[in-house]
Amino acid sequence: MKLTTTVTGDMTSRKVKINNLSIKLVDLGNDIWKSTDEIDVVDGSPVEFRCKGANGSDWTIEIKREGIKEPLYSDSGTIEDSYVIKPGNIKIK
Amino acid sequence: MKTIIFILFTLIIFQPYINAQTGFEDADSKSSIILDKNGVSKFNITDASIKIGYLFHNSESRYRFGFDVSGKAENGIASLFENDNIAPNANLNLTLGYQTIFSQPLDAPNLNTKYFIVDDWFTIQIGYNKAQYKLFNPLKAKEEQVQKRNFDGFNVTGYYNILFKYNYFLGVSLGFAKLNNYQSLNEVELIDKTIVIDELGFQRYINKTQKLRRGDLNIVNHILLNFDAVWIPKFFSYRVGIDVFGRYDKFEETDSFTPGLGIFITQEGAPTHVIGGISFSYKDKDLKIGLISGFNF
Repeated sequence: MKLTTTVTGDMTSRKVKINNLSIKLVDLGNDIWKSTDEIDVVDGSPVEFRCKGANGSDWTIEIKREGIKEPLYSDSGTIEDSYVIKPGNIKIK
Repeated sequence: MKTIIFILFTLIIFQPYINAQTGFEDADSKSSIILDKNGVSKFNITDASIKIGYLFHNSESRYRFGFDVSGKAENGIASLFENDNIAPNANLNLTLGYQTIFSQPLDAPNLNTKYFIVDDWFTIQIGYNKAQYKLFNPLKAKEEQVQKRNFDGFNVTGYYNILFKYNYFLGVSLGFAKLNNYQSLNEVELIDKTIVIDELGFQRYINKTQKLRRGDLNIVNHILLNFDAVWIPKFFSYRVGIDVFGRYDKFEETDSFTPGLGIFITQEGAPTHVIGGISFSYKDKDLKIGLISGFNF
């Protein structure tokens, strides 16, 4: 399945893992880090988003299936203690 | 003139898509902090400079590389709008960075989120500078009194930046630069008056005014050492950055140290995106005030 992972926000580092595979995020400008990868996911596949940066920085993550508008996984927040580690699960829609 | 208006217009249009790379800088555009941002568009009101740049990076790599080009009107902001008075000064900088030297990589199996060093990065910048200056020397023959001088400058600077917990940034930079003394030469206004008499005896005066610098252009090698300590406290909802900085400059047998303080307003939700600020530096017993905009002028 082809997945698009988009991360935005004021971070110094970011990392996304789906099914324990590290997703390479490519900088497209304006804080949009994007990757398109062919990954086998089933309902409930684990996803983990990690980032670090200054406190007060907003962040968003969205994982979409190609051609489907509704995201399989999305989350957002603010860095409050330098690091964010957010584990989750992909829900097949 | 049209080119300058086009650049300004382009920057205004594209401002929502590009962010400040390092807004934490003084009135002379100096800083020891290079932030990991994609793009830079910056207008420094005090030294009338414009900068556009880009930093390429992917999250899997510890390396990043980028470039920036900047232009400056040596005769000040007003000269941007007066064709005859522009003393053009263009810079091209190439950047190479390496991240996570003493800090923990995000995919470390035992990531300790209490570790005091959050992130750190080393950056090296190599730059080339091309400028053209108009100089005035009244001691020479009339045709030679106004001369154009070309200048080719070079600089190389290494930066080390570190982000500590509780939003403390520390930056140190050490650089070598081939510079000139144009800014320290006295500015003069040269007025050439021509009298035109038509066939009916009517007289007109035509004045041509130029702003020039008087003296000789000397090229000097400088050693530059800068530091910045930036704190973005929670107290102001992470919207204000306070920068205590120092600039040391050694050239020939002379050296100088300039201490300063900067106060910067940052974007909501993005405390390292500077949208404006004011800096105060104390040099040669004079207080210099700088206004910096992330591009809201």
